[in-house]
Amino acid sequence: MTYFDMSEAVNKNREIIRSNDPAALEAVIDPDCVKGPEQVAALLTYLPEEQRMAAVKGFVAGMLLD
Amino acid sequence: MSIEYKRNFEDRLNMLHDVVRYKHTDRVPHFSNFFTWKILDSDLKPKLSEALADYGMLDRIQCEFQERYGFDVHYDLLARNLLKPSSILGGHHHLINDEAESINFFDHTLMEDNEYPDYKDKRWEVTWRMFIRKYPELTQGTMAEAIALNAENAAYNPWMFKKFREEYGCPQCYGFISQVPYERFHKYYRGIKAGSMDLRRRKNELLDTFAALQEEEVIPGTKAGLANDTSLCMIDLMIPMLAHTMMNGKQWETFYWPYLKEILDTALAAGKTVMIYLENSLIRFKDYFENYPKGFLTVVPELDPVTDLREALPNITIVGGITSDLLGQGTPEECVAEAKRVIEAMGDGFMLGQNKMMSFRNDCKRENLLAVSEFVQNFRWE
Repeated sequence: MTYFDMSEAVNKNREIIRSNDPAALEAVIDPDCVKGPEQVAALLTYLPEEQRMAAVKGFVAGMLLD
Repeated sequence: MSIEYKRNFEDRLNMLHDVVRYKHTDRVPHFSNFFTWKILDSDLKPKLSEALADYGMLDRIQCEFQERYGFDVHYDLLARNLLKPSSILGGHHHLINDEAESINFFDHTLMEDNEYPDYKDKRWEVTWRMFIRKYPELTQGTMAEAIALNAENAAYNPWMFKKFREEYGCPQCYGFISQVPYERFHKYYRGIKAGSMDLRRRKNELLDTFAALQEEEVIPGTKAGLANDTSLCMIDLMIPMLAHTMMNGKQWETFYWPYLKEILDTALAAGKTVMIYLENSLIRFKDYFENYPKGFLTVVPELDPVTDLREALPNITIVGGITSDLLGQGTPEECVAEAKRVIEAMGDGFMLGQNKMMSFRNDCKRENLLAVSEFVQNFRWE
């Protein structure tokens, strides 16, 4: 039986994120509700562009229910 | 799927559907309301923090639990506390205590007193503000990595649903969730204390906000969920009821029931089934549920003894009957005797289960659960 393991894919995606501009990675999130999500979405370069904002918004909504 | 497990799955699904619909079945399903206890019972003997940080280990533990006890359906497949993304964000409202073997959730306030009108009209703006308040000083890179990690959270449940269907013949408990507008404020945005004050001090703001949420999100979301194929699930729609515990009768009538009624009536009109997963008690609100037809509503109660609830609401299917007090402190013989008594007292429209989210070591002894599992698997109506 196989057990849940997405570590390879997730670690690869995290590496892709880390290859972005260090200044952008280290910047604190902008409190503006338009700029802030856009800047984070721009770092999700492992995702197709059309999926990035939805990933940010879905994540934010989900983490408030954590 | 193997032929044997396919047959097991179909047999189980048909039985569960029949019980939900209040039809007679030759045996009684065994429902798992077990949560963190599964980790503590595991022969892998991990620390809580270790298990919760490793979804592969949670998968193993859940499989071990099923192989040992053979439940017919699980409310939770150890997806309750998937904490990896929040761990790298630098904090959350859970405290995992390995020594006490507990996970505590802290009452907290993310939305300010005067933000209801903004939440109603500028929802994303307030949502973003709450997120920044929850994770101050968060860097863009860390958030991006947390989003990447969140893919595991999103994938875990579908993986487990498929595994339990195909490997163990266990149907998914419910298709989707809907909740009344107030629930998100009660637990996550305002918290219990501030939310309770809001009920007294901000009636008009709450009603305006709830009306908007119900119209824009709750009912459309409910209808969308009801339009999906949930035929492989035991129940179509699950409604967790928590916030009612802090309400008096008048507050329930004003802030809870109208929204719940609309969700229920929408599901009834669609010919679907509903499970209410309950904190605390339902009996004091029984009048509101007594006119729903048999075979529509299933309730998983917490405080209400199942026989009292049956007397109050003979039209609903009930899950429960074995208390954590007995499973944790009694003997196998006492547990089996109680399982027999309650099954015979309840008759049709009943699944044997536990009276709370089974979370702590003392909630259950392994030998008691083994004895009850064996009994209920072999019980047949004559």
